[in-house]
Amino acid sequence: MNRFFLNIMKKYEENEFASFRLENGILHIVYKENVNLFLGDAMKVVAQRLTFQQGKVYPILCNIRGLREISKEARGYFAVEGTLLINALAFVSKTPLSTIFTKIYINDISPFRIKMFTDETSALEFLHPFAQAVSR
Amino acid sequence: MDKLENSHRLENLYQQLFAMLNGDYFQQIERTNSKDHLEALSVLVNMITEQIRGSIMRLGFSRPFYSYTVVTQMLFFLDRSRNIIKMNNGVKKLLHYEENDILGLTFKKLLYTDSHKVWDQGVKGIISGPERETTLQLSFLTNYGLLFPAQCKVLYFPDEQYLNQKIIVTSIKVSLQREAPEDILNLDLQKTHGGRTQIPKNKKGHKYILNTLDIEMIHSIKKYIVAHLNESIPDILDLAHTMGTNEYKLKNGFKELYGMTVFQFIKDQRLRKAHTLIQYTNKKIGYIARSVGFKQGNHLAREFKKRYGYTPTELRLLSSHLNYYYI
Repeated sequence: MNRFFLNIMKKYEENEFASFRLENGILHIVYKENVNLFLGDAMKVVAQRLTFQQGKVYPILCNIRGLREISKEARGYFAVEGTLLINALAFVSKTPLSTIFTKIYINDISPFRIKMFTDETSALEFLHPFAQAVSR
Repeated sequence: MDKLENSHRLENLYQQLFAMLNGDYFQQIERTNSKDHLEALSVLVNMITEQIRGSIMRLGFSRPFYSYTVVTQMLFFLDRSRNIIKMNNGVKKLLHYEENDILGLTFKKLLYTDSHKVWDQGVKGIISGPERETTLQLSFLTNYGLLFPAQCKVLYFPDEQYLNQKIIVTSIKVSLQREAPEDILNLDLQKTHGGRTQIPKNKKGHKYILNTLDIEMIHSIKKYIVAHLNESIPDILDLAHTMGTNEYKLKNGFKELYGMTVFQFIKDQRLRKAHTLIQYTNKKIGYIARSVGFKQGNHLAREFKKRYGYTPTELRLLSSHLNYYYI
């Protein structure tokens, strides 16, 4: 079949749960305020992220300050399918609640470098070398 | 911490911990929109409750004298205005209300706000039909301020003579039922009329007991596997020795903790990742197979078809139409 992919290089997308922004080779994911994530929602987030990345691997800066609840099933999905096409992950955590969510996530996952930060500048410094490895 | 609102939240934490102390792992702490330490603690306690509940359930599969039993927890009859007109004793026991507090009350008022939308949509669906029953995951607010999550069956009766436009809401619970060895003995004696008594054998053999160090070690092995999924995993013996344990402990302990063998676990993880990559990227299937740890594309195809009932190519064709723009 004569079908070709249109490489639409989007730099920004969002859905009801989070926004995805590509800047200097780093994917910034920011969860929206008071988001509750169940399995179906986690699947939507991962699907949108992977489609947005168009098969490329990126370092990710994830801000989960807005996350209110995440179910066990959603955590299980993020721990497997949610780790795809990521070479490093930095969480920016500024509240006790987001710190707990981050620690639980880090405890379960180790296929790439993950680190928690309280400020975005340090997080970007950590991710920067990984962004060199991939270019869009 | 001393604010009135916080003292209510602290009280909920205490209530939940006391409920757990009494062996009740079916309640949860009401969540707020705060992001402070109390909220983080509430999340942790809720997660621990869920974990213990899961562990207790799993115990029932392999312990010889325990089995599952399904019991109706709560039963509500609602009139056409969705007010409660009848209920069973389970409601009083589980939600800690008196009958007078509940009769005549709009059912929705018993629900936690997070469940309001689910309830409204569910009821709207069964009233408009054609399906007249649905299953909803609802959270009830107990009189003690804790949440009681329950899977509820909701049935609507549009034309029945005695249940005209009424709704029945019922929740069920699966719990452990202990049967003493002597009970089994008696049953068998009755069955065999004095013949040779046979105590059912535990087909799985004796249960493997894990201590804290074993659990930590097996968890590390799982992390190692997850981190090296795209590589050839060393054989079980090497893996066990690398982690400072023996093959027997690793094999049995892993299955005990994660419900599948090491190789089933590896295959499961690889297939799940392959499925997602096929669905949401345009990478070649052979490349995906190798990137998740299958040596060849046809090995992936064979296992994939066995697990999902369709081939990677079929999934790719379907997903391509849904996810990408073509010219």
